[in-house]
Amino acid sequence: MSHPVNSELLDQLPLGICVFDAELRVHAWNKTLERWTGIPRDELLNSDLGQRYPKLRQPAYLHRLEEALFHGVPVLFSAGLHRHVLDVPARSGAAGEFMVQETWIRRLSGSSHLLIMSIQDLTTEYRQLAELRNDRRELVGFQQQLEQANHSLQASLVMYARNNQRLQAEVQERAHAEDELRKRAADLAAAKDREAEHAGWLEHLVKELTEARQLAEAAAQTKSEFLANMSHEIRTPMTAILGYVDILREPGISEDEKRDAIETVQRNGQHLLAIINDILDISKIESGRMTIERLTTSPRELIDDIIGLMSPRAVEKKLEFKSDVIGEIPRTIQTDPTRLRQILVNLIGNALKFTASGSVRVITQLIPAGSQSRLRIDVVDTGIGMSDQQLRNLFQPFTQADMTMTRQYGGTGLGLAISQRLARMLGGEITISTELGRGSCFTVTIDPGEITIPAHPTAPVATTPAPQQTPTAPQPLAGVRVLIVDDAPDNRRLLSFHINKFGGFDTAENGDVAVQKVRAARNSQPFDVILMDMQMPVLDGYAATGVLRREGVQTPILALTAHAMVGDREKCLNAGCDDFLTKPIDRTQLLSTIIKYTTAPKPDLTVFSY
Amino acid sequence: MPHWNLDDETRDALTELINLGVSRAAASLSELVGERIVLQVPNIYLYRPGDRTPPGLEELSRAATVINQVFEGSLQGAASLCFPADSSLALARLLSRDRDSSIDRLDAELSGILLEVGNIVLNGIMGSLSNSLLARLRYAMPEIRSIVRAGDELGPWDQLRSDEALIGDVRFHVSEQQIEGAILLAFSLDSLPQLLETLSVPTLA
Repeated sequence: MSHPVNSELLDQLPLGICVFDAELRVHAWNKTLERWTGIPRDELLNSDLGQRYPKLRQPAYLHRLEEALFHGVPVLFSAGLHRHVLDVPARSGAAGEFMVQETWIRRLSGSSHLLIMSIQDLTTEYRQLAELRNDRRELVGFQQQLEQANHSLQASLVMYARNNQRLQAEVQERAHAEDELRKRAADLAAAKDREAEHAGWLEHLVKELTEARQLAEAAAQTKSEFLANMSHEIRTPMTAILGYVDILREPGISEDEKRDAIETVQRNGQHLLAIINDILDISKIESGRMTIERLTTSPRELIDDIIGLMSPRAVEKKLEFKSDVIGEIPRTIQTDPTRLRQILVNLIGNALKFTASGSVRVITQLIPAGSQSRLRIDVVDTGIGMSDQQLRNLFQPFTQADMTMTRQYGGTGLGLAISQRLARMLGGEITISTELGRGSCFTVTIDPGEITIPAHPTAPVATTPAPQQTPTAPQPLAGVRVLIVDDAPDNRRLLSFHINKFGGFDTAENGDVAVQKVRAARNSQPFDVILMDMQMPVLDGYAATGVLRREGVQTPILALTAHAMVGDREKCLNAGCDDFLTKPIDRTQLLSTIIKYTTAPKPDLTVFSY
Repeated sequence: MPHWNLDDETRDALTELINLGVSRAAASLSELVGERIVLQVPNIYLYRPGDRTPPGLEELSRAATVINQVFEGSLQGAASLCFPADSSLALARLLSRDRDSSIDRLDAELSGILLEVGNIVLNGIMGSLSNSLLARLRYAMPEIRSIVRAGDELGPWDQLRSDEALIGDVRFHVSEQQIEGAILLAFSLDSLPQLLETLSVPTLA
């Protein structure tokens, strides 16, 4: 049975079309197939397709061809499963390569025994697919690589972040370490500075110690020289005193010799006292126990007093001796008049001492400088002057400009040292300009404190008490009974000698005896005054005075002590004494003090000075 | 359109009919893959629009690859072979010449292979059915659809959802392989009386 197949229509399709029957006999073979297979349609029509293409006779194919034929279902032979149904060489590509085909077979519409097979050439598509797959594989590979790279990158980023953190930590650590290092360096530098400072300080200390040692050695040397000098100075008058006392014992000496000996003893005794006073002064200053008062003082009156006091010596040496004032000086200043007097007496005394001819002038002026104002007093002489070497040692204690000068001019060698220290305590100093053989100018400056100007006195002012005039008038001291308490027999005898001339007395060699005698005399003839030595064996003056005061004894007790230091007076007064006298005893002072404490002096008694 | 229910006898007859066709199709698939095909008992039910989406269609909506075969004639309807994405790819790679495991998507070759597999399986079922029912059926060319996302066209199934239909649903898996799938059959109710008559099922309610 034939079926009209429109061959012309089939030839126009880009598919390979073959129509065949159940026996696989070909009924149509279009030009596309002719072109693909190279088999002319005429050659194939009505021939057995199974013979040409044996695959079609395989059961798997035959079975599905039967389904199509009997059930009318379309049957697909996919390229993926079959590659091709008809083995046709590929139109391009390598030799031996077959065309890749997708083949549909279904029953020809309107026929019950013909099947139409349409073949689509997918060779190109499959090549492209293969390339796409390769590309895709590559892309997937790339993707995997990228993912790996990304993963690595992520890991690197994580690591970078960690490293960064570590780096940050290291940077911070390093910064911290650098800070620490800087701090250590600064510490080291500071330590080095301290060390250098310490070394400098040590060096300075060593230098100071060396200087101090040298000074100490020099001081020790000076002190030794001073002691030697003092020893000499003390021994010299002592020798004279003792020697002339021996002369006085000689039987048969004339009255002139006796008077001469007595005057020599007195002169040397006074010189000895001056030496001891100087030693006490320098000792007080050096130990810081010298106290300075500030009293309203008239400088003009003070200087005039001193000029008056010392004029006799100038007259004696036929020297011109006068006081001048430059400009306007204060009417009053605030100073210690006693100490200022001591300084000026020393300087003027020196000037008079070391000037053989010419003049000694005292020039006073005010150097105004507000709170730094100074009162300046120049003592200008035309004396022997001094060398530079002599100047250098001038103010050192225990020295003189020249130790040999002591021999010639006498003195303790302490006067200038004392004066310089006193001037400093008064807020000034002593300076010297001198020329050997031509004379010297000693300049003392002091702090005048609060001053009043002009220099015309309008109100009473305190001045240094002028030296007491030698008492020449008789003093009342009759009927007075004095108890002399002293462990030294000579002193008891000396005091007895003084008292005996004007009143009654008794003696005691220690405090205990004194207490007993006072008790014994209370009810018969009580003492009017007790002269109490303070340092005695058995019972000293302090204790004895205490006992008497506790027993209600009101008799005035005058302390006698060789301790002339500040504080001794207070100590004695605290013990119950009424007044204080220092040894050696000044006769005049002794008698006037006794008069002061006796209530009923006898008018016919007279005290005379030596 | 008559409104009827599916009684047990009819259901049994239909189950047996579908089982026969599916078994024949499974034999063809087994022959292709060289592995045993394990079938579940067919699930037969009536579907009416508005019903809750039946499990078979639910399965269909989750499928990634569907091969449809529409038929008409004394029976009208469609037969489909459905695979989840992993299974469709695994099956196609298993049957391909080079079995290249690096291919991770259905390209033209693998799609062609799945279309032929569907063609073989669905032809087996339809051949069996048409033999059993002496039905003369006309077939459209089979088609393969890849469903990438919800809402992609399902071919004939989109139309079936708006009509009443008799649904046959058979699940299977390929032994020793991670491949599973479903065979779905839908028959328009218009054609059912003839179907039932052929099966000598006496009544339609």
